[in-house]
Amino acid sequence: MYQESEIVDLVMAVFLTPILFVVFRTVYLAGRRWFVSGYLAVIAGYVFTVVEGYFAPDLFNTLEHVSYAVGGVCFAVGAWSVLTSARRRSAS
Amino acid sequence: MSAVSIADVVCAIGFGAALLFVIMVPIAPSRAYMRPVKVFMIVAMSCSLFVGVSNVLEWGGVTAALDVYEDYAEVLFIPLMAYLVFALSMSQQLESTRRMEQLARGEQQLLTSIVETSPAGIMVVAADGGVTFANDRARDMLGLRPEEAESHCDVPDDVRLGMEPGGVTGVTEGLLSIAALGRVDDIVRYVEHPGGRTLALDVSARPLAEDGSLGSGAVMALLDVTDRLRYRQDLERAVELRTRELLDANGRLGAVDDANRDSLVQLSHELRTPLDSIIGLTDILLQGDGGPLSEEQAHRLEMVRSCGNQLLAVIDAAQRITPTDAGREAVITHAVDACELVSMVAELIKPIAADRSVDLETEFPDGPLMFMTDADKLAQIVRSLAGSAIKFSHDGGWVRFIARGDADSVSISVADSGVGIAKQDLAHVFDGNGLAVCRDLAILLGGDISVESEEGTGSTFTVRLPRAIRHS
Repeated sequence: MYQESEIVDLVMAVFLTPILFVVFRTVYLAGRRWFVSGYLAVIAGYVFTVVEGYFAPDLFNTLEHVSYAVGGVCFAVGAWSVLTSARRRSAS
Repeated sequence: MSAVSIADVVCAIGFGAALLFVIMVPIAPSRAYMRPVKVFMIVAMSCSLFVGVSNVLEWGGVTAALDVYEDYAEVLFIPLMAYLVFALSMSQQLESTRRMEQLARGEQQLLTSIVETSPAGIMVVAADGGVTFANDRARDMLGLRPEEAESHCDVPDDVRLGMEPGGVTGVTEGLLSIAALGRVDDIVRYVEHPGGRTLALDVSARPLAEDGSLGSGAVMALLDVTDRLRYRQDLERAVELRTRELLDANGRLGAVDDANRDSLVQLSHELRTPLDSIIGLTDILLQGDGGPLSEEQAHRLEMVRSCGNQLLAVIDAAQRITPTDAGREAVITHAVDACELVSMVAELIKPIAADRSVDLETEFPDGPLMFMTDADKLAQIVRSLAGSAIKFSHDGGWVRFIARGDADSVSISVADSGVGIAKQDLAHVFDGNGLAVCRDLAILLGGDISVESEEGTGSTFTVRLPRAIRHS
């Protein structure tokens, strides 16, 4: 079964993600695609969390944790890109 | 170790590294607006790190106490990401606006410097004729006074602006009439100040509205051309004065030249007539018509004839260097009786004709045949034609002079009973000999010369001249 907090997470993701993407397209951020990938991976984890309550719980539980792991790696790479870009700007 | 626990470890390490990197990102003081972005990023990474660490501790069997707080951390992630993105967008828009503002301020400063240092008066005229902006030069030219605490200028009532000195309209009406012209360049307007100071202004205007209407007013550039116009008028007056002086001088020189030429031509004419008689009579004497001559007398007469011919050449040369126009000989017209002139020529060449036993005959109308021409040149033509006629006549032949006239012209023909000219040679008879000179002289006198001939029978040359020479 699902938890209420998981449904809230999913509902927020469904409504805010399109708006976030529209705004995010207009800004410049070093490593932007890594942040997008990490964000999508986390959202996928939310989806797997809800699904595991109804279907193949072990598989989707594993997928949920793997998604968070992927998200963590992507955000780490994105943050590294931001750091190096900021240092280059400071140096110049 | 299960795949889930490995994933949790990777998750914790990944978000931990991301948090560390974000914390290390330097933010320059000039980009302080990026700090909220950094804060939101740190909180979001911290939440995810918390979830990852909680899972690691739980699967590792250390503690499950943090599990109950995982939901709070997870539910914060998406709103934090939303705040982060909007903060990032806002900060970048802020930076862009700040950059545009700096650019606009720089351009405004440049424009202000140009306007203030320009030698031209520059002003903005509103649709109602009010002056919303004017630089110092424009204010000085139009006597404008800046209003207190406003960018508008007070337009004085006692200054006149118009198309002529002593303008008939006020400044506002004058400016409106210029603005109504739309896009104009370099039109001259005059400004009259109360103290009597009058300026001539070169005005150019551009409507501010894109459609060219006066709805948004117009920008005007004024250039003080008072001195320039005055200098130009002075220059024009000086040029006109000098031109008049040169024309007068030229006229005086022309009169002197005419007088000199007339004197020379008159002198040549006066010398030629008796000289022709001297040479002709000398020829007669040398031919023995006046009785037999001793050798000494013949020798002296030969000297007389030689000197006479030399003098004649000098006179001819003098006549040739008195042109009325470049490249043209002088034509001195007098009233001439063609019959008398031909008779004189006939009398002159009579000895030569007699020598060849050629009879000279004349065929004249009753009474004189008067017309206006250069007698010397006509006599030269007739002498030359008569000489040729005698030269090509058989001994015992005849040469006939015929003078005729109609309302517009006079013709003199010299006919002979000579050898004639072959038909194929008629077209070239005036090329490159004495007859060419005759033709040129006839043309100079406004007429022409023609020939009719039959081989073995004789030739007739006819000079046709107008009653009066029309000078071109």
